[in-house]
Amino acid sequence: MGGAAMDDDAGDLVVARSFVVRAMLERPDVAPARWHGFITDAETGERHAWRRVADIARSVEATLAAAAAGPRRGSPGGLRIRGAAMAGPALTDVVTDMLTVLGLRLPAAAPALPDPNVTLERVQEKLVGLGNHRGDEPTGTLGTRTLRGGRLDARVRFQLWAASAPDVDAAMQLLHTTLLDDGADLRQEGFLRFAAAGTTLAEHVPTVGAGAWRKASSFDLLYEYQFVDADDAASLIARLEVTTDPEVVAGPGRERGSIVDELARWDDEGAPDLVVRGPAGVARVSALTFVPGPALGGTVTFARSSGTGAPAAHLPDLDAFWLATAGARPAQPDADVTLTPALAFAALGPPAPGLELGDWDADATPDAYTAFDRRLDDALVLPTAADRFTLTYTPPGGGAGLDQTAVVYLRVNPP
Amino acid sequence: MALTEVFTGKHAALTLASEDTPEGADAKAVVDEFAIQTVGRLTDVRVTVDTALKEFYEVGRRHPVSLSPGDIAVHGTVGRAYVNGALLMLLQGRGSAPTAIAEPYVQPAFTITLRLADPARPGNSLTLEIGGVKFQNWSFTLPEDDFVLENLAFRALTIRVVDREGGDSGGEAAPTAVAFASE
Repeated sequence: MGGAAMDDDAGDLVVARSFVVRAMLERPDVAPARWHGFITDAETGERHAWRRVADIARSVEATLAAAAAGPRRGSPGGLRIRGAAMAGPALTDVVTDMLTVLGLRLPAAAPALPDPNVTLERVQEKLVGLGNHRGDEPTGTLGTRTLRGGRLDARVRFQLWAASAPDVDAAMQLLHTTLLDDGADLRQEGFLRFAAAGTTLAEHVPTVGAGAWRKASSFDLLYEYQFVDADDAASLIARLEVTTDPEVVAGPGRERGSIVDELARWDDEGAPDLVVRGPAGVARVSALTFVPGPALGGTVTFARSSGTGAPAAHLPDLDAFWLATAGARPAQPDADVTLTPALAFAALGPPAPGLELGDWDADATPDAYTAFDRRLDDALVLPTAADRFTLTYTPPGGGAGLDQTAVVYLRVNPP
Repeated sequence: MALTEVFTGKHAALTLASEDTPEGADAKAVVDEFAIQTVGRLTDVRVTVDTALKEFYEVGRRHPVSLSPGDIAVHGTVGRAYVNGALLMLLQGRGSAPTAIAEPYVQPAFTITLRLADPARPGNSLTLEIGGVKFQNWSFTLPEDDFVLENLAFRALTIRVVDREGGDSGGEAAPTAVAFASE
């Protein structure tokens, strides 16, 4: 699912909005197994928990009503907060997630009685550490990511209902023992501390149905949520098109140019060469590939040239190429090797899980990339401006890009 | 906008950087392996600069007539929830390796950068660069029903102030420079 679209163009006749619904069935061994999940607004990323199917319709209805009323604070078009404040999840979602996890431990509602619930009594935000940093995480091909988190020091209240005082006492005892039994699971779900703080006596409420009994129990907890801070993450920006207006904006003297880094993106629409010009060195080559179909056709050529016009030595494999071209005085300053894409990527190293990014094949699921990374024992040195290291893709039928719907990012000396 | 904002630990980050020495190389190896460029789960950081200032008294005077600068000592402590042995390995270096290493081996040295920044004012930042840092000691408490914490004390060679005051448009301004009079 996904692919939200809310076109701002005034000429559009249709305004579309997508929602992603995730349904989960946890602990099927514990009766009664209950479906629950989240509904995500694909446009804003806002997420709401649902425990009953009817909650989904209510959530969609509320979101569409809010959208019809116009942009609001925090939504696209509203106030945008810069910096690290953008990184963390909204605490509304954190609290909702926390209560949803606890709500799964509630007993089923009895007929003609109010649903049991869990609510907040108090909550206070706490830090995981300085700056809410948990640490760093190497990503292999994309440098390191900052790991952050946050904590909520809270007191929650479980409220149960039953037809008689003994029944509500028994239900509360079962809830306490369930929470004790689930201690390890709760810790895994972020509840670092969880302790009962007090329980009320069973209270008769004659105004509910034919009379009902209510009992509430409070728990003190320390809940930790975690997220990855993408603010400082490395990017996959392959090319920036820029314009310069020396004298008059949009005037006849406008100059256009492209800013490229040692990074190239190949897809079925285009596969520009990755060219590294001297003076520079090549100590590491990485690839991120998304190939949902069969193996890519065509060939990939690694080439080093000295700019003297000397004929290139055609080498049989990539190891031989690195060996012949490595160092400041390579044995073969003009050499190349041509491989199939699959062999070329395999020669960079064993495949590793990369990252999920975009939906290039439009199958409504994020594309899972595979990472290949090769650190050269002896760096390839390009001492002068005439020296080149080039990575070229040649499609099988002479097309412009890859021979199928696929994406390849190639990078030299990633961070 | 003048640098007059107040901060809390929420606005702070402590990062480690290596130095171009054999001691720095060992520190870099530890920092890279444990991915602690930004040290996470820090609970307390204290930095102290002592100058051992000495008073000089003349006979017959109760007030000092001069203050003589003494030796400068830069030291401090950090606390962290114990999540791995990275900081102990930064103290002992190869001496904490899983397999015994023959002596002598260097004690890792590194740079600590303490940065305070408010996301609401991205152009402003306060940074303390503490250079030539070595951990002095390490302690560890293992309570029966609470978080496991480690505490370290460090000593350093230098400490520098790198405050930056930029506009609301973001970007990093040049460090604030003080125009000292020429001697």
